Amino acid sequence: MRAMLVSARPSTPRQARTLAFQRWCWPAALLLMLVLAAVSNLLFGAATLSPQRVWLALTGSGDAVAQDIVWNLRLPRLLVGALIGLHFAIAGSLLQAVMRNPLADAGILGINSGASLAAVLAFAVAERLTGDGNPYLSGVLDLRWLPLVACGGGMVAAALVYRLSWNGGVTPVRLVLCGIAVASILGALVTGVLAGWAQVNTETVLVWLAGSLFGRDWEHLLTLLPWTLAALALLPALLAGANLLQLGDEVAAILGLRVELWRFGLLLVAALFAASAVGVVGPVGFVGLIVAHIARLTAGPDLRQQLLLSPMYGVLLVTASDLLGRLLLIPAEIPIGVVTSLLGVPFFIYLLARKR
Amino acid sequence: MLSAQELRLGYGDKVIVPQLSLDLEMSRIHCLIGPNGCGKSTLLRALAGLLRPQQGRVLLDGRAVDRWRRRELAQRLSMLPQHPSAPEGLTVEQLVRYGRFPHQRLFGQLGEQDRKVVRWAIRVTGLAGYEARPLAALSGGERQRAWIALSLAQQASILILDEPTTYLDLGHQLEVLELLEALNREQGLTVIMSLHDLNQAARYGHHLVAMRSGRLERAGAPGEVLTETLLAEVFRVRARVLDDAGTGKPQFMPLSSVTGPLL
Repeated sequence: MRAMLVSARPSTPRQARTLAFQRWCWPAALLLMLVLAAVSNLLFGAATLSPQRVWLALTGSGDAVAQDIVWNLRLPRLLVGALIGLHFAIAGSLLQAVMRNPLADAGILGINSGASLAAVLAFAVAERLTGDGNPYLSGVLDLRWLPLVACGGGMVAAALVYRLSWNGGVTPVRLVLCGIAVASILGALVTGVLAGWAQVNTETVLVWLAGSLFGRDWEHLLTLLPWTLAALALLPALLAGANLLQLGDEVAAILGLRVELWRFGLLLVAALFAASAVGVVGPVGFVGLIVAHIARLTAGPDLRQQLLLSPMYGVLLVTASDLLGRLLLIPAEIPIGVVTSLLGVPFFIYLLARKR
Repeated sequence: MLSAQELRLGYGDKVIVPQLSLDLEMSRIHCLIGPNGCGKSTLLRALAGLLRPQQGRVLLDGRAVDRWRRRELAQRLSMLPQHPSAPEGLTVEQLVRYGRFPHQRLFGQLGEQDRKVVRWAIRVTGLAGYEARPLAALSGGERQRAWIALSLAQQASILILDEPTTYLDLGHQLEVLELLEALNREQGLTVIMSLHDLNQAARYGHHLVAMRSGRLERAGAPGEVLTETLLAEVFRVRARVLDDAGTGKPQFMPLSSVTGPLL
């Protein structure tokens, strides 16, 4: 697809068609797939609802069971999924552009692990404070704190990775290697905390750690939404600089960019996107990796155009994966984090193999 | 005036240029010559403010380049590294548009003036009609000119180039050099570049700077620098310098290496 999109000669009808495809047809097709995925998410599940029942429920009439399923289970879950798809997608696109590395991703750079560790620690501390019982129910750990705590963890991890890879400057390769190392260590610490400290609700935490949309409702959506809006508000001012980093450190510096400052700042913004999502649904890996890659293939080298498409891919991937996870083993569910990992690991290996 | 004052340059413990002072006048073409590994690239990077000197300083208009705000410096000085790389699929026009970055506001929108400069940069580098081509689909010479167009779109009055003619065939080499010469003549562009071909350096440069193992060997007009003695000492080449017929632009004919075959 890439070759088809970029190798057209200028000013030919073929190129005009290619451009039209790139600008309009493909996003339109994507939008259609998004609608399809969204509708399927509302229709299918442990109980299949007819389109008619879903429509009636959505419009506020219809039977109570359908209303309950649509309004309290499937719709909020769909929307939370869409939101985290957007978060991980933007984080992934930013990271890949800024690191000039198609292997960069919030998971690989240790951001997700940092966010997880902070959240698990908060959970364990809250559990200690309550003595026993679910810290959510006892009110010690408010859900709204989790994105904040996770963001703190994710940003500290990002800063740590940056600091470790600093050697008079930071090269993208060293950053990725340090990220993988830090991610493994933090992951081990999460397991350690779970084994040694938390007792009662280990199972709840384990489900969360697999990255799950199970039981995500309006409260989760409203918890995450301010973070989405805040992070999106930061984005436009950063795009020109982030775009420039793709030309390499030297050229970017020559064109007037303070490269290290920008790279660090963008790393933190990407951490903000990814970690706040982790706080709500747990570490869902590989979404950014897959989505950013496909966005680059279809949108071309301009980061601004990639960022128009990648959130759509992100939403599509997350909602489709969640649907898959819900349908494969009815009545049991496969957490979405597991599904995306199953998709993402082969993709990662494919990318590695292609890089020789 | 761009001047290097008692520079010591290197990477970590590895010192490449132990001590070097040099004054470069504005609106001239300066050519750095010297054998491979003599520190030309390192010096150019320091002059562009990309490499912080371990000692000494680089002054532009009397102010150290690392004291300039990066963006202000970018409006004054541009540099084309030896092996720049662009993201896959980037087209000529997209590349050249990046050159307007130091002149843009926060959200990076191109104004009418910016677009005019981009068109101008593409036209003078002979790339009109190539705007929509991806860089990867260009020949080596075209690609080099596209990168030069990026630097020109920056509208800096000083342009530093690290071996801009490497990997180009002779025709493309001359195209690039003639373009730089014309920009110097018509716009007063200051060009500072490293060149491998000494005859080209003598032909296009107003001021030659010869380096050997990190030291400044000689600097001055081509006629003063390009002598048979210097060629033997710096480049280990026995050569005959041909009569320059009063142009001050000597050409030379290499005869043999100083060492001869080691067989």
